[in-house]
Amino acid sequence: MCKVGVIALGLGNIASVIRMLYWLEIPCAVVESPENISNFSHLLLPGVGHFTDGTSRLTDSWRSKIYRCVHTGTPLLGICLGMQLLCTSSEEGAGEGLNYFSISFQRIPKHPNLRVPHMGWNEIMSSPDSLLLQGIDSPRFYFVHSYYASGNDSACTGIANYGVSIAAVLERDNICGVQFHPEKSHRFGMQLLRNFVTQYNP
Amino acid sequence: MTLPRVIPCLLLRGEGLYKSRNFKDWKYVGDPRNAIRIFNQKEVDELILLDVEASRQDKPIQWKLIEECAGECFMPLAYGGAVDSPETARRLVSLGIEKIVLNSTALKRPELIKEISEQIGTCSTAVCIDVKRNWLGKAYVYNHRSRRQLSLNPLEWASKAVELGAGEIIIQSVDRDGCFNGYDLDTLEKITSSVSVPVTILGGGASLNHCTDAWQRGASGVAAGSWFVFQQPHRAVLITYPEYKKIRFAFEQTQCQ
Repeated sequence: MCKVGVIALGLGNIASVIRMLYWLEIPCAVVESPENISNFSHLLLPGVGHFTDGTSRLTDSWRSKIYRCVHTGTPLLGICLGMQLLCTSSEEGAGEGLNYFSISFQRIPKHPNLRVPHMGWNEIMSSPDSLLLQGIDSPRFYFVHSYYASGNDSACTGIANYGVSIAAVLERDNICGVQFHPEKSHRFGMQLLRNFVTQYNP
Repeated sequence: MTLPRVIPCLLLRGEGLYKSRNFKDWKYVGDPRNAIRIFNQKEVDELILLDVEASRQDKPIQWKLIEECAGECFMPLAYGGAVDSPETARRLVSLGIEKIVLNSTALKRPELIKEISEQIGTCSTAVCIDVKRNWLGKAYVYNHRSRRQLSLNPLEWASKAVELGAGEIIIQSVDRDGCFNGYDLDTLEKITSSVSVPVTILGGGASLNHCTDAWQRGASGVAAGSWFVFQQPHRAVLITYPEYKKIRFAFEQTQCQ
């Protein structure tokens, strides 16, 4: 039975994610402490804010419980800062992420016509292997971020261009992440979340 | 290609949506929840909701109404109006508000920008600057709460706001508000040349040509009120928004020039 656990580390607004899941009639619940992380078919890790705040809120208890779920095959999707926390490190701040992807984040370089933060809608070039982007025609999503991972990484299945090639979607085994905000990307975000629960099976 | 965001800006007075001309001459538009629901169906890029009475009349923030509005849309919704503390900002974000817009509360106490951006992030903290021109045509910051033109230069204030942690600057022209005569491109260009964060322009926008003109001067967001809620010439209420492919076409054409 499908039930999505939305991990609440206190990193920004999760109301919009919950609202979109309700709209999609996908059963979900907020997971406020690591003890309550079991019994979900899928896990979501949303997050907005500073990398250091993220790594410090991922206590040893959270880390071990998340590792356990992931290693038993529970699919995990990180959103925005949540995706960055699935990785190794970021120039933005201190601490280590969950290290599922050996990727580090760097600041989006300055460019005369492109402002930082990268704020707004951008189109994604998707890999035919992507499960999250499957069936989404001309995908575009809402981005808000100042740090990025390179689109050249082998786990990258969706790329956005903003002066540099940005890893918009990372996917490997049962772990995936999106740099953009599906919960703010209306029908595109809805299709992506639907894909997460239907294409990724525990 | 990254297009600028085309953003309907909705003004709340009490529980109703209203629209102004030069910050006066208010006309009732409708229920904010319905309007947002319609904009959501039209898949707009982003929305701004400003409670224009909250600061001016010291009214409390309309929490329930804001929560209902946030529940009606699946795109970013920014809120402004009497946000005077990091706790207020945090509470708004927890309701689903993507961005907080600071205006008179930041003029009163600029440190507020730093406090709020440290709490909710610079990407979620926008500062709105109302600009009015004096009889010589020189642009000054206007304080809508005291209804006074300040001897403060918009450029200085924008730079200071960014230094304090604003992740976006919104420039609103009082003189062009509700006039359908295009954006204040001169002020826009001065500001985009000196700050590196996204800048959104508001006031006078009424066509995709106005939007592309603003984009060429560095705007990453083009916002409008009257254009999306009124049908000219008599300001009859009609909620509209251009189709994505028309917006895209207009900007692509501009890029080719």
